[in-house]
Amino acid sequence: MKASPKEFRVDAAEKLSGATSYIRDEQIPGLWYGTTVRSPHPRARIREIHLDPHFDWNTVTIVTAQDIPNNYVAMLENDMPFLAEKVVNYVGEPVALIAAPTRAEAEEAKKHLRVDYEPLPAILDMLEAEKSSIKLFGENNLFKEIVIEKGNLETAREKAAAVVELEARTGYQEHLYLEPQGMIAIPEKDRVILKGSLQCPYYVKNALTTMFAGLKHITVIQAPTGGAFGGKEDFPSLLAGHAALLAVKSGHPIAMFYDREEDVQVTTKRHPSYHHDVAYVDQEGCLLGLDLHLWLDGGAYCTLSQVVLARAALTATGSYYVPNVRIHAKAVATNTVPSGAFRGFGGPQAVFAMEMLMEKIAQRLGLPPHEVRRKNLIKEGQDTATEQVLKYSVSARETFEDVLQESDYEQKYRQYQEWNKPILEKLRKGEYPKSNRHDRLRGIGLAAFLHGAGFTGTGENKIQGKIRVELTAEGKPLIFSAQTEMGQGEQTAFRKILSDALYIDRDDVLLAEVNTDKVPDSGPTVASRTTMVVGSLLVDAAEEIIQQLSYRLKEEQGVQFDYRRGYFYGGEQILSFREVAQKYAGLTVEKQYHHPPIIKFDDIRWKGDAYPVFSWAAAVAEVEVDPVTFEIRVVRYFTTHEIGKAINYNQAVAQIEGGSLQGIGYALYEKIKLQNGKFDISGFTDYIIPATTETPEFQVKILENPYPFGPFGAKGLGELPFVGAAPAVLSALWMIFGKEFNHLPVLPEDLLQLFSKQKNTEG
Amino acid sequence: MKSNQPLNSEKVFRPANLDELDALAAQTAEGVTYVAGATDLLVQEERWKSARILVDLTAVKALHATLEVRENGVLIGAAVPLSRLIRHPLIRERLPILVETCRQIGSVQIQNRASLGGNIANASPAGDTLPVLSVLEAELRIGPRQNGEFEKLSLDQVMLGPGQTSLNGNRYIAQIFIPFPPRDAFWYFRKVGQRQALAISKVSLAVLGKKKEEKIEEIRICPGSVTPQIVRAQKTESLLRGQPLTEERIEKARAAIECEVSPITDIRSTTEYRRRITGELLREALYLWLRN
Amino acid sequence: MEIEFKVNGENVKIDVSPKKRLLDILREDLNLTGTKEGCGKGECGACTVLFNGERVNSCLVPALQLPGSSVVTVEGLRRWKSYPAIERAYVEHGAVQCGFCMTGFAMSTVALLKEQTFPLSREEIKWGLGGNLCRCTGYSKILDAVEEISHRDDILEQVHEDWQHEI
Repeated sequence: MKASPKEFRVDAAEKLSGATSYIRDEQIPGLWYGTTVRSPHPRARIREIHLDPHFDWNTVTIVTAQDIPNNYVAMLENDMPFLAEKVVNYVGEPVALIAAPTRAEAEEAKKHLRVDYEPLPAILDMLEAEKSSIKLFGENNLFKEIVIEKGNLETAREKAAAVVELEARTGYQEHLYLEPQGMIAIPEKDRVILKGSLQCPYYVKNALTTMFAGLKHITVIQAPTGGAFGGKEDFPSLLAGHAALLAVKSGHPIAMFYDREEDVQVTTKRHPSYHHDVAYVDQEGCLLGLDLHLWLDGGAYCTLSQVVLARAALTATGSYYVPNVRIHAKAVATNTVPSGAFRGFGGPQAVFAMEMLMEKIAQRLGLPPHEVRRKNLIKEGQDTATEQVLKYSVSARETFEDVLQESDYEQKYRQYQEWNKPILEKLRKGEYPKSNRHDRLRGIGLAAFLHGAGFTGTGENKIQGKIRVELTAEGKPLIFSAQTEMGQGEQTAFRKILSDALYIDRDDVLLAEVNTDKVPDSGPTVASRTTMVVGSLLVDAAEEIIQQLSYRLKEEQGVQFDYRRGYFYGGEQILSFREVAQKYAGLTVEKQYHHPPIIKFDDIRWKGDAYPVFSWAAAVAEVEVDPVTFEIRVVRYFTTHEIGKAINYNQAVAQIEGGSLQGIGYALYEKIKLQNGKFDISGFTDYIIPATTETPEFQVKILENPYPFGPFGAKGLGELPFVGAAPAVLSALWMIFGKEFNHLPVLPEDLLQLFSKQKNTEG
Repeated sequence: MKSNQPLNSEKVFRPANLDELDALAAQTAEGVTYVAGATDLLVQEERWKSARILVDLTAVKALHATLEVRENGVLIGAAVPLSRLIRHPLIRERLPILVETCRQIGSVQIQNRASLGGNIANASPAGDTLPVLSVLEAELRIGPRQNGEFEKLSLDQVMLGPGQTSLNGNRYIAQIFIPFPPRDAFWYFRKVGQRQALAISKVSLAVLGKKKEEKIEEIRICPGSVTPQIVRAQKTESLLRGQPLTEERIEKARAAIECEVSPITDIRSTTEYRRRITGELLREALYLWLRN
Repeated sequence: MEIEFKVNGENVKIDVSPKKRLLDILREDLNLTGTKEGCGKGECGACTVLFNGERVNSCLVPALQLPGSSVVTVEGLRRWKSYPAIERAYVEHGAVQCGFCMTGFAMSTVALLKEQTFPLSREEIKWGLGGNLCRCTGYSKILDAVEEISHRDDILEQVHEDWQHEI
């Protein structure tokens, strides 16, 4: 389906034609190149940094921990140094920086710098962290521990007809944005300008202001950003620190441009997780109680693990109502690359475990998996694990029923089971399974999922995001916000929201460059908050602009002016917005976000409104498995989302398709293992993301159920589609094989093994 | 004096014809690095960085442009891009198995550069065209010419193991002659990768066979990515040759080939998967033939 | 080494290391930054250009093979008469997100239109664009855009005509 012209992206043509200038496309005279000396050990003491005396060090600049005024990246815990000083805590941890006029010279210099280490024992297994005698963080290596309790699990245990237990695991995931991390630092007398590929300019500004102990003014400018997905949320603060240190010491502008291998080796990944869950259910599969334990591997430093854990814990019961719950969640420290933000932010791991638990309940009770889900889906008026009563915009059931219908789930489920029988029978007997060349096992799976829109708990109140709108001399409103475009469509959405609110042409709305000297801190571009939270400020700003313009017209002309659909009507006059805005050019309106007062959260006891609202979705994945090679393909993917209101329907669908395919990658292709604490991937060759040949035929539908505090009713979208894709795909594998699938990713090798076992035990 | 500049002393030769190329190969004492499509060479960082004498084979017409269809086969320049083979109507007609394997290599961008000679010289057990060249009994013509003649070798005489070839002393692959299989020959090629496009194979299998009066007259089987050297599964072949193709025979062949391969576990797959799937692919091939 | 070749129809002469990648020559020596580097290993397709009329990954073409060749980058492509129709389809279908892979897709699209017989099936388009990776879109809208173009005889004719003039 084509978009309507109003929905065309404002940045599409320039990007396609190559006119958009990403950070590596900048032409900066006198630019030097920085490189990073990194630890080869998961944990080691640094004995000495040794410089080869035969090398001419006058032509390069070296930075070590000693050069840094405040050697920590200001984030949640301030535990991560810009450069390790005494101890390194993960393979790839930065120890020193070198800059030179060319990349080759910097790399050459690196060969002449040797770091002597004394290797130390390391924690490489997240389940060993808490009890380990090695102390990486606090007394027990827990970045955070969360316990959420509701009701009484004892009651559930007593009443339960069945107790279903599940262990589940998810692996690392790499963002693999097409544009690797890149940052340029330009030194001036009392200031350093940072320009780069990043999501959160004020995170970088704050981190660097702290690093320089306030001695430098920091200006952060976002360059067009070639994908981020959370990968450019926390990491750029570290990278910008490195670039700035080299820039200040050398006096030259410095580029820190990672190549793909460095990027996948040392930047943050999605937190691996381990789950141990128990469900208490009645005969019909209704949840009486859930006892959920979850661990996230945070890696060597905290970064954002505490809030990732919070979202995981707060999402752990999925789209379901449960009367009695205990959630016990821990984020632990290990000697691995710090895990960080990634689309979904803990939600995908939690929902995966919950959905697999649903599969297991269905299997145990001999009920169809959709029936078990259907019975438990949460409704308006019910409460979540934190006793948040869902008062508005709740569509767990609506999205679920809709996707079942759109996909013809129930009928296909039966059909495919019949179809698979002879193939499975032959596989079990070890016979050649195909009657025809193209015979495949057919699976259909489903998942219900949700995403809490905006920051967790009191986060928005802490940020209190601000925006500003100015009227230019041409009578065009110019938006100043710190929200960034990284492909998700922020620029298009903001211009559309403000132009719709003002009833003016989208092309007449302008966006200021994201530069911390110019734009107010509207908060980071994360947590699916941009449209819902900052977008609502734009609507507020539009209202105030109209009010002020009407007021000024009245002051000047003594007549009441009313604004309707782009025109001011007063007395005999009809004035266009443009005319009036030109007249009062320079008018500035500022808006600051305040959480709707009815939303209250206690983040010590974990009670109350964890999120202002949730976005809801359900998905059905149709999967084919080649019975000869066990290759798995998702052939069709249906999903129904309810995001309040789609600001740009076409682009909302595009987000959903893209997020879903990332989730399919997470389910079936994307695998990273550690070898002595080192990731075993080097880039696109060995980290497999879906190509065009892996994309299913999508059927996406968006339902409306407006959120009273969002712009035009909109809620958050960006992360939601990712959350349910992997469980939907795995649900289809449960359906085909009738076996438990409890880890991500699932590869053909796993299916084969499952079959060898099946053959042995049953054959 | 301290100098931080790395030495820059590469020499480049772009010989215009075979004579120049042969002279160069013969007269250069140092080892030269031949460059064809460069799709493997440029990603092998160390090898590429250390190469000092670079010889561009795409400059030599006999290597880069030769595509001669003869009555009994086709002579292909070692540096001819695979996409030319894919598009060639006669190759499509007579060597569909070769076209199929080429089509599954990397991407069109890669197929436009990569060549059969490069695939052989790179000597990767996962080299996609190698099992197919093996079952087609391709004849490799190796330069420099001695008395005006190329040396003629089979694939297993050239590709000796992972990254190892017998092409020492500046010898190069000049051309590949591929005899046409009979028009009624059965063929099968399947590659199993981590995804469909842009995949490096985990396992592959090429089969070429011919029946005569319900018996297998000729059968050639070559698995890929499961042995260090690309070699035909001769024991399995001999189990089938001269026999009628029956379900029982197929099962025996499957068991035999699983014993004949020696796969490893690496980032792409496991020993068990590779071994088992080699057998499964052979079974698929033979069942397709049986039911044909 | 001194190299003379044609880029977007113009003769250029440069002095570079024979090992320098075409990608770096375009970006550093010729300031043609529309061609992007996503991996440097011939896997992602972001650096796709036309080299002697065939699409290739410019990260895998060494300078030593450039003499006498003809290269077309997106800076050249956007002047082609057929380009506006390709752009329109991508924009109208909402096929662009972060955009970093997009110039590679533009090059592959025009090459695919030239290489294949028409109209293309969905499956053929998937295989034809299999050398270009995208992490944002899920590909669906890109496939829609190309599918639409491949049904338009007027655009196809223009692509073929451009090919004659511009390579």
